[in-house]
Amino acid sequence: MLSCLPWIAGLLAAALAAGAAERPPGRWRAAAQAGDRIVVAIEGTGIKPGAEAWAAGRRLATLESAEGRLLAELPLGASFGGLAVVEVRRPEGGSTRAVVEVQAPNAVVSQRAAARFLEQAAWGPSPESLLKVRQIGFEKWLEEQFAAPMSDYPPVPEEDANQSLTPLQRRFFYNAVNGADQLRQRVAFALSQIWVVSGLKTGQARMMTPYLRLLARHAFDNYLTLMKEVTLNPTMGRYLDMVNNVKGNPARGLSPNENYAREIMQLFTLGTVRLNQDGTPMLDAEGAPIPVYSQKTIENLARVFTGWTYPPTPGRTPAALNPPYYEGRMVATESNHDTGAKELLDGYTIPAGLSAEQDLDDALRHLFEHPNLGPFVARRLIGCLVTSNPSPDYVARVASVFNAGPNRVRGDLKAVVKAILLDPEARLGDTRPAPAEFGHLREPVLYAAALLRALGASLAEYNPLPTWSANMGQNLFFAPSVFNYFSLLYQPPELEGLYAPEFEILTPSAALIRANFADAVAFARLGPAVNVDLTPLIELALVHKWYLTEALNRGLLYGRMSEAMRDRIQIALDSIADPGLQAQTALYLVASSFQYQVQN
Amino acid sequence: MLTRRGFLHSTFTAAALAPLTRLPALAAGEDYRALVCVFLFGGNDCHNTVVPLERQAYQSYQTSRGALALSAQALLPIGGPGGAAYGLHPRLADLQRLYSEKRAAIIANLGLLVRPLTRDEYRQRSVPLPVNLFSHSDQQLEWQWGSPAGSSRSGWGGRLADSTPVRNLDPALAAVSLTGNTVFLSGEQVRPALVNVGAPTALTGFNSSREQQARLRAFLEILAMDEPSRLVETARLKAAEGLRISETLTRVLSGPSPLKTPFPATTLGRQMEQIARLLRARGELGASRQVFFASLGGWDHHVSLVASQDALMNQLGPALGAFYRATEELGLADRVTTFTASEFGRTLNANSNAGSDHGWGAHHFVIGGAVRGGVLYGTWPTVALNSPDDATGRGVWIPTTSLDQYGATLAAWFGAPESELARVFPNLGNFPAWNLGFMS
Repeated sequence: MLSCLPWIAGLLAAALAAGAAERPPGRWRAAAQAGDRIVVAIEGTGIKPGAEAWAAGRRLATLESAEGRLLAELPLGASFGGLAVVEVRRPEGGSTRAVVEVQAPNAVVSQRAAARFLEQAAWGPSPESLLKVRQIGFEKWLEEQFAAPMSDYPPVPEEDANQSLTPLQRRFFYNAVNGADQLRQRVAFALSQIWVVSGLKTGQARMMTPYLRLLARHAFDNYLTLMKEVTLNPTMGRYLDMVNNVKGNPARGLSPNENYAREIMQLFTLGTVRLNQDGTPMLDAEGAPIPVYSQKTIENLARVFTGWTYPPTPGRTPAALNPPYYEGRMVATESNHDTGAKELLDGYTIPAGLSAEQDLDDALRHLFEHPNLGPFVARRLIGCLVTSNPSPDYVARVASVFNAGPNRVRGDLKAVVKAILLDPEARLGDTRPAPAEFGHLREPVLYAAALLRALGASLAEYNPLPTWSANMGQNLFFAPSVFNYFSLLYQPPELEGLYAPEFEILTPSAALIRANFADAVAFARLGPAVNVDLTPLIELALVHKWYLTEALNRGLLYGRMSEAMRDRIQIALDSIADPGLQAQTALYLVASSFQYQVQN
Repeated sequence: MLTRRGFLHSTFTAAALAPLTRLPALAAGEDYRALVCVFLFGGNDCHNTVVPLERQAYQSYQTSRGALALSAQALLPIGGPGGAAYGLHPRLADLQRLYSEKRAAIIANLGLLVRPLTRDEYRQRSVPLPVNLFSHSDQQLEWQWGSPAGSSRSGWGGRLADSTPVRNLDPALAAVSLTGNTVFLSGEQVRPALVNVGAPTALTGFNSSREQQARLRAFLEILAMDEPSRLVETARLKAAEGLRISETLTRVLSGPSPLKTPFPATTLGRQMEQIARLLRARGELGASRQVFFASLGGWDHHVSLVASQDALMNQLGPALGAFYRATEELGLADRVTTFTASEFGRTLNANSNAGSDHGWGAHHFVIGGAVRGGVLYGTWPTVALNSPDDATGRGVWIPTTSLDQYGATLAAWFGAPESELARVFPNLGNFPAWNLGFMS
């Protein structure tokens, strides 16, 4: 058997420098064609008709077998990080193997750029999506995503005893790892961290499923539409006490509940202080921030949101106050609605005598048109998708798209999301190291989903990821409060002024459990629901440990592994003889590192 | 001065990932103080916790509560101001004894307030109120924030730990929660260390084989590598802290308890036992001032109050009793103060399910050798429907003592300078006489 060697200039140079390679006989190339079809071409003397190509323990389909030339199809799953060990078996016996690097000759985007983009726009890159984005580019991929069919949740059980949210949690992870509508899922999840509804209070499947579907359905819609749909959603109505909130009775000292009125302004649309278009707070003459609304505004807005009740349960007579039912929109009982005039912001007064829905539409449009809304939404969506510390200019650029997108429409979420992802600040790290403050720590849900996707793992619906995510500090759908799993404006004391929301749940214990999750993935301790095929990595380890480390560098860190980290991994591998254990060890060391856990 | 960042950096050499065993053990008579919050999640029914035994008052109680009333014979009698007698819930024998030994005090009609108010002011909404009264999630948060009229990113336990000038040698264990990541213990600098009942959180998957040890060493050294990203840098420091705490806690909490005092094997009992073990190890942990958070849920007795509350009281009383005895065993009785809390009390009258509904002001206990015990502090409400203390007509007490006053009294004993109290309790200035006087 001839010794095993790589051939492709860039890979070869690095491998030679590391002492891991010698020149191979013949020429070996692998190139991705359209779709995820990869063709391996091996040319050279000694190749005869009848030769077979093998990789990852399987025979490759032969496309052409001639004197001196063999073409075969390499499945994407036989590679890792774009590297694969290909073996040629000669019909007369004997074989030669080499490491090939999968090129994408028609790529419009580099691997690093595509990977970073998918970290922001999807639940991280998978081998398929990475290749796709490289081939069709960002804009085409976004268009496909806008049109992709929506992933769904399990049907809502009828029985009271079957209302657990656990099946929804499991399906969420299943959709994240497998679903085609990656961008919609990311945006819907970001919206769920702004318009928070928590299972701690609304913890039944019949409540949560319609709400999650609503956010997904309107992820690319107009923000005003989203505002109205969420405001009239029965689950949100229950969570923030708007449902069955009746007009006040001053004689008896009863006022409408103010919860929704406060939170829609503070947490869902405006924030507490006036903002410049770049997201920075406006300051008064003494240099203090300027409040947007007062307690009186909250009280008057609470009066706007009176008179709504649950939708009538099918088959039951509608009443003034309907019993709980969570499909569809809340309905109005006009006799419970406060029809007085209500002064809101900046002297604007909703006139007296309007219906519940007229008042609601008027108030929502009033909030929608407030200049705070653009920077408010821009800042938070950028934080959820791209970076916790956008420059004010970045926020301003996205806010201006919110204020007037294509066709001069205000509040176009599709345009806003596109602007966020294609902004030069988001794309800067594609071609040079990202600035030291850029990016964000992957929250547990994103960490788990991204790792499995990057490994090309399969995930069954009945899976343990919800438990792991909870142990890492994020109990999916059970945010501790309306302030979300973590405040989107959290500033850890250690970071001296920088924002890092996900650090609010990075307790010292959670940091260890994250490493334990990487251990569970690498050593197949997640049970039958998760299947990670390490064969490509093991084959690379068998050639030389340098390739194992390099494949993980490319597949998980997109080429950004430091030399110190590479060296240290290889020192560990020197103590490990078994290539399977080598692959697991190297995978653990990269996946558990914060170089991986922070995406930038 | 060694900053927190500097401290963590200095722990980062390979040798320094070893435990903090070189700290001098704190000598007897040392300046150690601990506060232990026992939070009763759900809203404990205070009316059956402390009951007036004076004949007319008891009859009013009995009439108002109907089927919810406990019989006078079953109640455990204790003294009170002006000679009025009170009775504790039948399962609180430990607290009856501690009260008679002047090691426990009762704070009457305590609750969340922005400022004091009368029933008329409540009904007219003419003064600021805590946000969303009667909502579990809101009241639990506001209680932990110590900020009833606005949101807060920190809790008063954490702010208290931030503000005491006596410093722990290891800041990571200044605040310890036995029930998960609680905002109560999150301060500006201080974050809660999470301690489980049972084995401490640790790195898993490693055995003593050569290969696994090679993996572990590589993991630790990669964790110690400088990286340009500030987020990566901060995250790895957090992980290093986790390793250090895990190593320390594993050493301190492994194996059977070295304490002689037996603890009940209940949810709360086990938490209190872990706290007692940590108290015992305070020298090794380099601790001088610690705030602990333990909790017991299930107090939301809308249905079948009498039986359900009985079971929980049967857990609360013995757990608190055992914990006090453990502090005596450790010679720490006057250095540890335990206090109860709950998001609200409950209605005096019953609902249609033999339960009571969400209330407001409630009675709470403070226990410890430094407590001026055997006294009922605050203002005892008129236990009747539609009394001047009643916000809604169902016996929902408008608190006459605020959380701010309660907490500030505890904070002062703990060592917070008076100048810092307004930072720990932003609304404290709205109340007269912040020091309720129950600590010596």
